[in-house]
Amino acid sequence: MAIIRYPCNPEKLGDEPPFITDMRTLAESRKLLGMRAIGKMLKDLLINGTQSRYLNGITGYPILELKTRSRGGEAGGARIYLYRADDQEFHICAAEVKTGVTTNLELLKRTAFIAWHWMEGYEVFPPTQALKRTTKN
Amino acid sequence: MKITPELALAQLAQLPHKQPIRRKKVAKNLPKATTDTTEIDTMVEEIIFAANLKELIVTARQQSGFTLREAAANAGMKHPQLVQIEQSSGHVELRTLARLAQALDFELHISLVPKQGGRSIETNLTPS
Repeated sequence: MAIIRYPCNPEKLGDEPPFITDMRTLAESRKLLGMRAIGKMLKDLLINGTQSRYLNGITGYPILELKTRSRGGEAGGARIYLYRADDQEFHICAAEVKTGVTTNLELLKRTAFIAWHWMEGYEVFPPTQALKRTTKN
Repeated sequence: MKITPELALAQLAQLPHKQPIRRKKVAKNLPKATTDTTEIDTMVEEIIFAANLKELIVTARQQSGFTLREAAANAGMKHPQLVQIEQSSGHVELRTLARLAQALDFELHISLVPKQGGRSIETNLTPS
């Protein structure tokens, strides 16, 4: 089994993870089939980790993508951009439902930006609530 | 060091492909990881639910001709609370939704419709 986390834009740690924003955008544009395909791929990634049948490398980069095997339609255009943070830990950075076959450069750059900050030791997750002092001693 | 997304991409291209991008120092404050497939289903359903709710509220408000500020004041809510609901990132209780509907000159009716056919059950939740 693998694990998944949703990192934030390191320059906007107070905002929700961009992957979640992408999913909201898809929901608002009623791309529900694409969203379900994204959910299916994430579940497969959790179960099979690096052996997931949807997992592909992006040529020239250590960034990965999950893409469906079906052709055409919303489900066929579903893509997730991510990086591997540890042997079986994946950080999900972006999602889209597209019509073409080429990699979305903007989402690739966004994923690289987060991955670079992760690699260099910067925070890519907001401080957890549990660590905030809630009572005075 | 300030880096742009383009530079980040160029630097990552030097790393071995298909290998984990290891962190140079131990990560602190990591949020709880998703480890269970049901959490993914829940996440997708919650996002779709929030988007549907957003569409309902935004359409009702636009049809009523109220601004965000006016609608919030009529419903006895704070402006940022309504903004958050309309940005589909907030949770809204049924009671709040009923109050908001009333403030926009609507009624909130809930219907339970049997999937296999049969009589629907409906109730009006608008505050009296």
